[in-house]
Amino acid sequence: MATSPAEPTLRDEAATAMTRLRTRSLTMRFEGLVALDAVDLEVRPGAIHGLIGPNGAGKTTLFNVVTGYHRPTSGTIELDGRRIDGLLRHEIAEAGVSRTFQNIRLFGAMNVIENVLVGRHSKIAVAGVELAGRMRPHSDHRALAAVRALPSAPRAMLHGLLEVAGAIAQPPRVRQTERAAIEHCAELLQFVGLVGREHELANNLSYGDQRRLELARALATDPALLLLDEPTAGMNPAESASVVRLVRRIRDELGVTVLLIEHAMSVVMGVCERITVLDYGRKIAEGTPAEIQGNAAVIEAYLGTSAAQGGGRAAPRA
Amino acid sequence: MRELQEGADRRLRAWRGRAAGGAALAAQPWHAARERLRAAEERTRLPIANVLVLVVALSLPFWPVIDSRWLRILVLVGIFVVLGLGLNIVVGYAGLLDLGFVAFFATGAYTYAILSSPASPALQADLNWWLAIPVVLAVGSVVGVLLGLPVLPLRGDYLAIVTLGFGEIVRILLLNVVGLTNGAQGLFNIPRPEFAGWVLEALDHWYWVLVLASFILAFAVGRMRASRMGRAWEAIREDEDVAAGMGVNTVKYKLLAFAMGAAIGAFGGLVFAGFFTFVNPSSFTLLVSINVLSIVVIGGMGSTPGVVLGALILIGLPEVLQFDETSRLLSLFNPIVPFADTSLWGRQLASARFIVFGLMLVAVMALRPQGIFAAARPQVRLPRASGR
Repeated sequence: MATSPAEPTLRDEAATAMTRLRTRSLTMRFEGLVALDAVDLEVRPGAIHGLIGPNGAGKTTLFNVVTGYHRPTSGTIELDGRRIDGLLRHEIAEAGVSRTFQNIRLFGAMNVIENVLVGRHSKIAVAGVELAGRMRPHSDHRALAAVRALPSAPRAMLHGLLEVAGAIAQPPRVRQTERAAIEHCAELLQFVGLVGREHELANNLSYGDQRRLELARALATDPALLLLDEPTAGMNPAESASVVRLVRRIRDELGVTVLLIEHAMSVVMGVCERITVLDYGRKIAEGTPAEIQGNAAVIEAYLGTSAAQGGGRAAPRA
Repeated sequence: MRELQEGADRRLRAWRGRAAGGAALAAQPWHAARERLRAAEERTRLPIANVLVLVVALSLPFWPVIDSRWLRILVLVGIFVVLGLGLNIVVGYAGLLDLGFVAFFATGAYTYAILSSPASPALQADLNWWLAIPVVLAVGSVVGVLLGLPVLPLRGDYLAIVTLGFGEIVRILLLNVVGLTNGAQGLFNIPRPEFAGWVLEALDHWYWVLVLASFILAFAVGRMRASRMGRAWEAIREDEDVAAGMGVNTVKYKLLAFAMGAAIGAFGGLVFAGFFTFVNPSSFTLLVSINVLSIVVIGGMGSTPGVVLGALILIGLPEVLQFDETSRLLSLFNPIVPFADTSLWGRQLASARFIVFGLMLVAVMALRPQGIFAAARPQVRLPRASGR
């Protein structure tokens, strides 16, 4: 699988500076099914990048692989030139990748501000140990996390002890970072438009507000790259338009690069600067919205062979 | 246009809130009182309710009705409160269903027994009870992690089955590692806690020690819950995968939950061994695990007052029902109840306690699934200044 840990970035410094996310021949196989087949994807910093394709094309699988929910069968993933494949999920989150889910997944029995605070987890100090921004170097261990933790057992225990001691004693540093985190979360809730709902249980929010809360929570990890899995699914045109505005503001005001899966063509074509099309796990096209709309392979994937032959030049109906 | 729409939405929500949520809240018996208390506590910055409970609890031995039988029961209840506080972390906060909690109780009791009993076959360490506290906490948390490691990938019912087995394994080990535990005969003459000549023996002293220990533990557990660690636990309970995606090291926090629960459970065992001065494997059966779990569930998962109430009902009540006074009180009903000796009701109820527990569990689950004292939510509130 992966060849060497943390490839030297000198070789293509110029190229990496241009890329936020890069996958190289990323392949994901489940038993016989090839969900991702040698996908090369490049997302530029500051872009709003669309990922489209028919159902079962492997879009969500790509998200799951990038965020560490699945280990890729082969291929590499780099974030700003640094390898993140093989990292654990929380390490990938700390490295700067955050996401939302196709079917909203909130911490239902926790209130709104607490949901966002969980995203702020690694920014809160642990009894004098500054954790924020710290990361273990890339390692090629493929074993279970538990096994991986064993060689450093004493260190892990010390860490656990500090965590408990810090929680009980609440030294000033912990309290101060916690307060800062709460303030940050309040700002994020303001940003997504959930002011005044901070103390409501996440489960009691309306569908649209739950989507907004999920966005706020994802933003709380200070991501460099935000993966949005169908952010406007199940919304009416007005709601969907306000989410699109929000996505733009996330990029423009917070400077977060966005990669989004979307089925509503009006949304994709309207908000994305670049689009990648997947079909049966393979990348079949990439380009600007205009290029994608005229692409024969894309039309074939969406409408079938005859449509592509018959009216290959015609723009697909969105 | 949009503002108009949003304004209408807001009004509609407010109306719904009053109609549904408001009515439901008002229907809760102590809601108004609790709100007033919360307001008073925010004004005075003093946990009035806690202080009141502590004062009442500490003064109990001075009440005329409280004699040694009561104190003995209260000490027993106290031990189960400690156990409940421990299991509450694992089950209530982190949502990890543990049916083998007795293993940690046994670990604590036997750790102290082996290190202090003159009957201990392996070593004669003669460890002081007070000095044993850190030892037992450390051993307990290590055993908790050892249980936690193999069950890391398991959830729900699978986790329950494995922990159930773990509890039994520990009991069977205690029976069979005779060279360390003295097997079925158990370990006796375990020294009572002693500090500078003061031996903890009197029932009321034991009771006070347990009240204070419970309060300290409840405070520590409350702090843990309100920290990022507690939020990580709750996030794991709600959705482990998402928690990981938000930067929570789920392995670490699941192990921490097991370790903290186990350490507190082991402390309960330490108290048990010091109080009864005798341990043998038959005290550490599956029934203990079930009792503690019932306490947590009936009281309200994730709720500290719930644990106390659950322990009082499940451990204290059956004992009190067997008192002679209870019989005498119940015999007052004799004239109005034909064909029955009402004075026996208490004892009968106590001997049928497991039927009653079963019915209570069914009733609580059906009528009030969140438990009698639903966990006080929400935890984090915006500071006044930065709100709105």
